[in-house]
Amino acid sequence: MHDPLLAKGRAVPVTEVVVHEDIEQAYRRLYPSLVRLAYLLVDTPEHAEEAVQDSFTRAFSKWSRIDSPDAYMRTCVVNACRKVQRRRQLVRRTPQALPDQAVLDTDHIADVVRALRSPMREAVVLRYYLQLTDPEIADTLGMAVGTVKSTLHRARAHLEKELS
Amino acid sequence: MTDEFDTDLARSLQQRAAAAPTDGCHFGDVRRRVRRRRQRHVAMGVLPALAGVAYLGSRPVAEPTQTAGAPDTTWMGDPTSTTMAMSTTTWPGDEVGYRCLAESGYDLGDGWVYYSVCEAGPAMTVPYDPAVQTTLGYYEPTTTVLFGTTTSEPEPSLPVNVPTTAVGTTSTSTTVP
Repeated sequence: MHDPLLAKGRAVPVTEVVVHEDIEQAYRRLYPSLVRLAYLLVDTPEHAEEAVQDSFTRAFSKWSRIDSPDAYMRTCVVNACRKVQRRRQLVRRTPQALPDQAVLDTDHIADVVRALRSPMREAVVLRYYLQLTDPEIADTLGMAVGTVKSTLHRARAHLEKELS
Repeated sequence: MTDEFDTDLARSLQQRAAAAPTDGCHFGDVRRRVRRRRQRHVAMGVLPALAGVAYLGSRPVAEPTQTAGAPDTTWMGDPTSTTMAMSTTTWPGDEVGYRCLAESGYDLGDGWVYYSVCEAGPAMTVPYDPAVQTTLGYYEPTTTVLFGTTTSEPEPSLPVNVPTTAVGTTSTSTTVP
């Protein structure tokens, strides 16, 4: 089966595999950060956990060929969250603030970010939460670097307009 | 303004992310998902194959009739054999609208004689379109045996001995060994 991530050089052929971290160890190490990332991209914690679990399930059979598990799983989780968003577009466009966070002004910013359209939301989260650079965001989202810059610019203008 | 906005944005996202539950699932859940996924993939590969085998096992050996308007006739058996071969065809007919129940062939030694067994139509005019001729040998539309009332008129020039037992046979087929 053709894997675009493998084709992009994120993984290496079997003959070039060096000693890798076991997937279970990587799961324990990456799971909290990936769930937090997914939680910023989907609506509920359950969907975030679902996206991460689904990503590890898909990566299970090809784990030995993955060269950089962190970047690979980050991309997988972002794609899984995109899939969840596509299925629940109506809920996403009318986000419901959680009771324990709605009182804070900064959480209103997070709600506005959550209401952004794809791929602006992913770009903003990767930039401002994970502090990734433009090339890293482009690699994760499968975009050109110039597209990432313009997307971030439009997202930022939209956020400023919404929050002003 | 820009730096302040960036800082607020980053802090808001950090706070929201910190509220995510991160201790709910274990790796056993992933293993269980992998097992279910493999089972689903196996089922997706096996079930169509089983359905195909079941279809092949349940279908009749020879199709009873062909579709109306089918221009050819499938002959069951070797046309070079002396054993009588028989097939069935839904004959489109002309405006009268009769239906051909069966066609048969008979080997005379120097060639085959074909005849048809048809339902009795309202006008009893049974043209025999040679379009059904698809087999080896020459084609001699000699006899038309109608189901029920018969208007068989074998040509006197040919020594045709039509087996009358074929009258009324609808889907009989003889497979030549």
